[in-house]
Amino acid sequence: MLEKVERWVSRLPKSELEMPILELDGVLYTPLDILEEVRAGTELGERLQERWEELRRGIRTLHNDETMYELARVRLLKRLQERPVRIMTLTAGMPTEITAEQLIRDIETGGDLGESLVKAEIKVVQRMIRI
Amino acid sequence: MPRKDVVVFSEPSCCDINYLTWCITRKVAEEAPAPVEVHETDGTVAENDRALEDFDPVIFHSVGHGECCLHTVENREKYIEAGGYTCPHYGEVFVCDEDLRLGRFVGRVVHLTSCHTGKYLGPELVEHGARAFIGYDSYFIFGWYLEETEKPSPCTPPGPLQDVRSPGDADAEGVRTLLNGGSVEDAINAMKAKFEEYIEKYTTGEWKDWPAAEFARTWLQHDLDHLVVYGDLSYVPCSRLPDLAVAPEDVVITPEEPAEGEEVAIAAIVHNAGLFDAESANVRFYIDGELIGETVLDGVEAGGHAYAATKWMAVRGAHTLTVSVEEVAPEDARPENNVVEISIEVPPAPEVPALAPLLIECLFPRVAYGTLTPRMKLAAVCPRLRCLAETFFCLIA
Repeated sequence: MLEKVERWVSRLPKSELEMPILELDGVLYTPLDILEEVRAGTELGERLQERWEELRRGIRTLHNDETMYELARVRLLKRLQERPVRIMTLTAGMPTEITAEQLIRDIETGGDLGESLVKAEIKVVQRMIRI
Repeated sequence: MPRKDVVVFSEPSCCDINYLTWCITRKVAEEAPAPVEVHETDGTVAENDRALEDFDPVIFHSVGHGECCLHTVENREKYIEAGGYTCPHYGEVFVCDEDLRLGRFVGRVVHLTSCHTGKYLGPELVEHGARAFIGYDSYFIFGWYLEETEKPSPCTPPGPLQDVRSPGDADAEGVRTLLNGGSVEDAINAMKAKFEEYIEKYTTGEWKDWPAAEFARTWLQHDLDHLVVYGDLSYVPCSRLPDLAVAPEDVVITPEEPAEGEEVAIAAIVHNAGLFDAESANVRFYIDGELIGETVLDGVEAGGHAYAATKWMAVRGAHTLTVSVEEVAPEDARPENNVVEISIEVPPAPEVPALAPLLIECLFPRVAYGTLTPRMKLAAVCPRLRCLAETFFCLIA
């Protein structure tokens, strides 16, 4: 079983290794946290692996899971704060470019763009779990 | 009814729209198959109106800015609008108060590359008679770059810190599919497949560890999630044609460097690069414009290939071999890739030197007569025959 988790971690993009990917009992865990616990053979490791397997098999539907929304939101905010990026869109009523600062504000205030991006991020988490 | 096989691309340059028009839609327009009549406008209201009037296209593809009930073109001028809607987003409320050109797209496939238009404007266009609508019902993120770097210029290829190409490229896959004879449903599936392809590149592929990859995955997923289509999905606006093609590397000449008088075998592989089967075609081989052979192909499946071959007796000098795929049925989508020309240089045959009369002297004595073997003269013969003859005569002498 450890092998399976090790293989999964080795396939992930490097930027994902320290990015929260799973929630358990209100705590967010990164792939490296999960690997460490599973390697140490702790009870937490066993539970994390169980949860990871459930998500991989799609037993828990990510979209209905409020905690997944929060997880995706945290991921996006962390990323935007650590490495600011600008996006370019084709919206008539606003400038083409949107800065990282504006994106962070929209995500924090639950704006339509922020919400829409968080929903896309949930699907990215799902892809990462299934790699 | 609009004219099949006719497309109008509205291609504004202002306000960063050139990121999509200069590098992406213009390329799609350039690569359109032969039977498609392509018209590109500068994206102004006047030019678009004229193009719709003069060419009556079955496909109208426009890149511009959008709201849930509005599509703008060059200089952010309103072009299509559905009145009575409000678009609350990004802390603002945008109001559409009039209907504008909704009835100008009856029978046409309308593809709007802009934000939000898939929400209300797309359904309204179909309601007013458009055959189908392709667009996005939320923000269309067409590019991104890390703030630590300079803003990339239009046409910059995807790189570690920025990408202003992949979303537009995935979007353009739709109209590209329509022009090549695909249905509206084929177009949507092709767009989705292209978005998936880019997401995979950024997730497990060669771009996964680029610094901006962690954003790219999310932005592309966002665009994919908000791609929408309405109307008649089975509609096919352009002819379904094969695309037979032959390239220099598909032609094999044996021997590679023929000598004068030598028989030369010429073989060609003909590919069908199109989405539809070819029922028949003739492959003709010409040397210096003169027909030397022909192969009739009884059909080439889409994505498949067929062989054609002929023979030629090499003639001294410099020649041009032309392999030409002709009389394709149904009509070939891109006749420009049906002909290939190859230069052949045939050197003169090597001269066989005439042999001088040969004097054979047998050095061992002729026992029967007690004399030495008389001298014999042989005509010019090949060296091997000469040697045999020499041995023979010497033995019997």
